[in-house]
Amino acid sequence: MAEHISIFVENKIGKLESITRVLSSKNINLRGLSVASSRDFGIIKILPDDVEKAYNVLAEEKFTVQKRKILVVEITDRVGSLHDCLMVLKDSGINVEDCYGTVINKTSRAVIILEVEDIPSAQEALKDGKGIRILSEKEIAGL
Amino acid sequence: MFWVRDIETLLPEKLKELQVSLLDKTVKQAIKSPFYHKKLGEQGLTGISSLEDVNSLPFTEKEDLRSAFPYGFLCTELKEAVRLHSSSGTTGNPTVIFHTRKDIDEWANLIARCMYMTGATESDVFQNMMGYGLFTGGLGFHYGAEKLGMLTIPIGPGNSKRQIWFMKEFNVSVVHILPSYALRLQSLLREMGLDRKRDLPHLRIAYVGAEPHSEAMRKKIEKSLDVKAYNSYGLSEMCGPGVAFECEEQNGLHLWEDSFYMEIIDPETGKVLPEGEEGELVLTTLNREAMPLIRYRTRDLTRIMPGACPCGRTHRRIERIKGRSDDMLIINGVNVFPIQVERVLMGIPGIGTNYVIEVKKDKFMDKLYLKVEVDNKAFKGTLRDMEILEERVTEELKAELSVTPKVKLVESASLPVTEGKAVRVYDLRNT
Repeated sequence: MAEHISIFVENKIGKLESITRVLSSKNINLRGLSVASSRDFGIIKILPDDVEKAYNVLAEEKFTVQKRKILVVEITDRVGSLHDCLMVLKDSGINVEDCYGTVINKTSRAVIILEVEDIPSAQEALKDGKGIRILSEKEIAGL
Repeated sequence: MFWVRDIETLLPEKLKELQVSLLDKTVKQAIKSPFYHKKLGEQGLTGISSLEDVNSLPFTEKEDLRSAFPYGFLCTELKEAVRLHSSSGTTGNPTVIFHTRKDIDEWANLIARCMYMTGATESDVFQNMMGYGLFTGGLGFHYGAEKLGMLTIPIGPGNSKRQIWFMKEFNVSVVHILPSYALRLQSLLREMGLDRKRDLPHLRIAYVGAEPHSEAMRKKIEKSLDVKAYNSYGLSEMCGPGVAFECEEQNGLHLWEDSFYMEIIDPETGKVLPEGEEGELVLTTLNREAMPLIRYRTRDLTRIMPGACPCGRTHRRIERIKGRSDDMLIINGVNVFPIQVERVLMGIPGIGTNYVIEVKKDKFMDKLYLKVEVDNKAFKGTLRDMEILEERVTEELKAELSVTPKVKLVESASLPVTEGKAVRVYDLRNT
């Protein structure tokens, strides 16, 4: 099962940089990133090329960090494709907890990262979606 | 002005004689309670015949009150007791203090004596802005003010507009108010478009207590409100307010030695210190029926001021309270022990073991700030979970402390780790 990394950070200057510094020093590349913040703190989610390594590095550096299961879905990079994908989930009664996306360079494909409550049902629902493809862990690492 | 001239000006030798007889009476009364029956009985103590004998009496601690909850200190039959008060913000069992009708009357008399000493008379109109209920500040002053004969407005705390409306409409001349709130009053008046001199022309006296404040703060209150502000000292274990009070000299608080026997001790060794040295105030009640307390350790740090007061009263003065010999914090009049905070935090999954408490002044009010480390092992990774966690910490602390803290979740391992005894409490109110 694919995973990304969630990091709890206080809302203050230099927090994001402290994470990217650690990752770049260990030669870890990022495929995607999202930031959500509350008043005094926020959650940074990253999709690194090597999840296990990134997790260990951040944990060693005493970050408050957790791995979370995700679905990484490839869709066509065109107007309405994300909407189509989300409609499939909605119609199956699957709630999307978090979602961020990235566009693959020099292709007509985009990738979105989804956190959902019920991953197997989401997988099942997305299986037959037109122009929608769930990526394997190997494919994610190779993005 | 003397409420009871012969007592207030009793010659020191006579006062000591009175204390010896009252102390003996107190010991004999105290033995009627299960706690002292055991404690004093073990030492074969049945009374005292000189002030030196007091040294042989054991100390009583707040912890004793808790451990003997609920009736371990009660010396009369329950039907003799007419009231109980309970201190806020305690760990485990609350401390409960019982009063007979006579105890309440003596207490009211002491407060009347305090207020009369500062020039309040039956012609004054008194607004009591302290909390009524288990807290002694409200009811204590209420009974005293009625005893004195003032028109008493039992408004309690909060609702500034209503406070000011009553003050204006009823020509209030005397108020009992938290020092932090007294400082705010002037700006509240201005916000309401009112002028102190024009709209509250009768206001002249403010009693400030329930939380320690500096001389500078008193001066500020006096200047901003154009009143005389008198410092009040008391604790619910002794009765409440009325234990010690400033006279018009405003130089130290006369501790009523016909009602309380005072000692200053070294909080580390328990040794009684000579007059004038700073230490922990230890008090013995002299007139209480329902619940006399012997050598009660108040944990308040002060000293006895040597020399006579120009006002003519012979009861010795203590200096304003310098601090505590334990770590209790007083937040807008509410007692808060850091251990309560710790106990709440340790009971919440997802919270780590490290935290920092800060107390600051925010618009003249005390504000409790809390930085709490999250437990990285319990971190689930969603923003919503953290928001819920922060709300839960705030709510549980509020329920425990009766103070609403401003909670901030911080990353695990981000707060400083100290060697040995961790410093977790920063009182930044006077900085």
